[in-house]
Amino acid sequence: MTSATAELRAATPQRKTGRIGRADRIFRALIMAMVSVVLAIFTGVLVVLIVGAWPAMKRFGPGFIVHTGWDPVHLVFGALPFLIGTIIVAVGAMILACGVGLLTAVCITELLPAWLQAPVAYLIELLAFIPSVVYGLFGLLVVAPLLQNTVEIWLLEHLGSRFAFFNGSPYGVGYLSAIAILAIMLLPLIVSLSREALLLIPRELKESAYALGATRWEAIWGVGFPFVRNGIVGAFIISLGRALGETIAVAMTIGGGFRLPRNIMDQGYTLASVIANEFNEVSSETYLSALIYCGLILFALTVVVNIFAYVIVRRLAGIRGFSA
Amino acid sequence: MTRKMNSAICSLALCVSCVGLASAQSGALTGAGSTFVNPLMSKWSKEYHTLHPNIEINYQSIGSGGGRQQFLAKTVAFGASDAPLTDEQLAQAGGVANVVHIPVTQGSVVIAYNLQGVSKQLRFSPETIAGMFLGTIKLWNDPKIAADNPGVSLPTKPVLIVHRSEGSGTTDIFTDYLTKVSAEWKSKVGRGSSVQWPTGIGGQGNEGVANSIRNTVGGIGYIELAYARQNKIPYGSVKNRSGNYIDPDPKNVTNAAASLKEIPADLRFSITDQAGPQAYPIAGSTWVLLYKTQTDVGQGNMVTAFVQWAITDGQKYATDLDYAVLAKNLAQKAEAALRTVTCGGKPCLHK
Repeated sequence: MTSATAELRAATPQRKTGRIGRADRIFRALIMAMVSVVLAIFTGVLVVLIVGAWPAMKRFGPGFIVHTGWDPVHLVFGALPFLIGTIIVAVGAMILACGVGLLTAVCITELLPAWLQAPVAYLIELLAFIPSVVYGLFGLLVVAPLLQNTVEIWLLEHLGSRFAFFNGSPYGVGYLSAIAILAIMLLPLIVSLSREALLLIPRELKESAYALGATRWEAIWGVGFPFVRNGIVGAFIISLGRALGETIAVAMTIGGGFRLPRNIMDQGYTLASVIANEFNEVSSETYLSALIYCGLILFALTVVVNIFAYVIVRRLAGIRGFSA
Repeated sequence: MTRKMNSAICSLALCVSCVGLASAQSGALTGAGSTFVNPLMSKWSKEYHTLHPNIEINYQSIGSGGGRQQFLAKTVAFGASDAPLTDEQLAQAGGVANVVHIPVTQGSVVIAYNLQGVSKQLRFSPETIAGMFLGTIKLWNDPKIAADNPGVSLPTKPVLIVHRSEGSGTTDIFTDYLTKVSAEWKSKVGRGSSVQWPTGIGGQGNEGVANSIRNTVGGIGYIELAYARQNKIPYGSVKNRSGNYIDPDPKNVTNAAASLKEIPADLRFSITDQAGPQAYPIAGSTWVLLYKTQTDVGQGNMVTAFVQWAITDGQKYATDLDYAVLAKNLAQKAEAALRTVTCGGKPCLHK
């Protein structure tokens, strides 16, 4: 058998290398084609956004980003309220979801008995398969009224007089509801990605820590956690990307409003949700163009966040001395 | 011999079926647009299909704006919109001579509210509605609201305005009304399917608005009649130009259309704030949009026949679904406009 193969190899060296060469070339061409498709899609999206936004860019200039005032009747547009809205909602949801999500992941990997870990993790991951419009309905019909009658009243009574940020009218729909529903949506993503990272902590490392007399807390946070910090930060950043772009669930719960947010219970828009809500019934070319301009800003924001994230992960990896 | 006969019979049968097809027409009609008209349009599609089993009507309720876009892009046999084409859009479609607007139905927008303990139907004057939506009337026991409702004890609750958070034909109808009755609204806000609201919170869709009203005592907003009735949300009567407080019943919308003084030749009219004694003042129409010159003769014949049926026999399905029956004056004008649509140089409609 071996000798036969050797004979064959000896007999047909020319053909064989020829074939490999051809296969190689085809493979290479195929890969290049795939890469070009991806790049073409990226460029295509960018070009379409710029072309669509061009009339608004010409009319409003870069000041569009820092101006307030959004009046479709008199065609005055400025995207600052939506940019700030996007940041408030994304950051708010991240604060809620990251803490809970990370602790849940630690609980699943370190504290639960082994036979319970996988089923619980699976149940949480199931949350990720619920379509966002269903979350939107849940937010509108359940979460918003619940917040309206509990959390918002509490915030108003206890913090409202001291911080203008919490001094609003408890109406349910608004930034707070959008933040809450978005945080719920981010949870499965954060839990599952951080769990994957935590599972990478070498058993020996934790065991050595215990052997040296470390408590469970010290073993997890002091020894294990720094080892997988990259993965966790990566998980947070992927979630942030999702938070910035989430559209329909936010559109259904944020209430809608074109002014700058005055407090956490106010109603407004994020860049993505204003496009979703206004696109269908857009009344003029200028308005359409202004909405696409918002899309372009969102696109740029996402790219910037991702580059920033890449740099952070690289730097963290450098500190730790191993690559991401 | 038999084989020959067979084939002869076959070809004869084929021929007959050809002729049959040509006269009865068959195929699918695609329309897109207004969500408001969707329940009625679905009913029409079903009933029309029962009458003409060869014809399928496929209506996509993507919103009036989308309907106008699809119509301009010529991807549908007809568009349906709660607002007529703007001048800009008409120009895009090749000018007013190229397009017909056929009103097919009408409906009222109601002022819905949530006031616990007030069981009597509230009455609103235009000044009160404008005042509340401008944010100048802040409390329910405001003298203006009290003056509209003698004998009703109103609570000292704040007025919470709920409006549509997304662009909507309903908003267009409502702001069209406010623009007509309030100079302050006209100068400060104006009319549109999406406007810069001076006050209040947004709800997505009729559902979102209704939900916020239901959840907040003191809430008030505008929604379509069918929606308020199905969800048992109380709504008020509105004082019209003749000084009468009118319930938003569909028949009072028909009254409003019947009292239109002059109907523009292109049928791009508005029935808000009409003078008839029984006219409900906040109401709108849905138009079917057609090109005057139908390039596809078969489709042109089918679509005009369907629309003709919808504005005549089809009207009997309107009331049950809380739509207003087209007033006689409008129905006549609509049919006359439909007769100007041509298929291959001749009018599409024969009867």
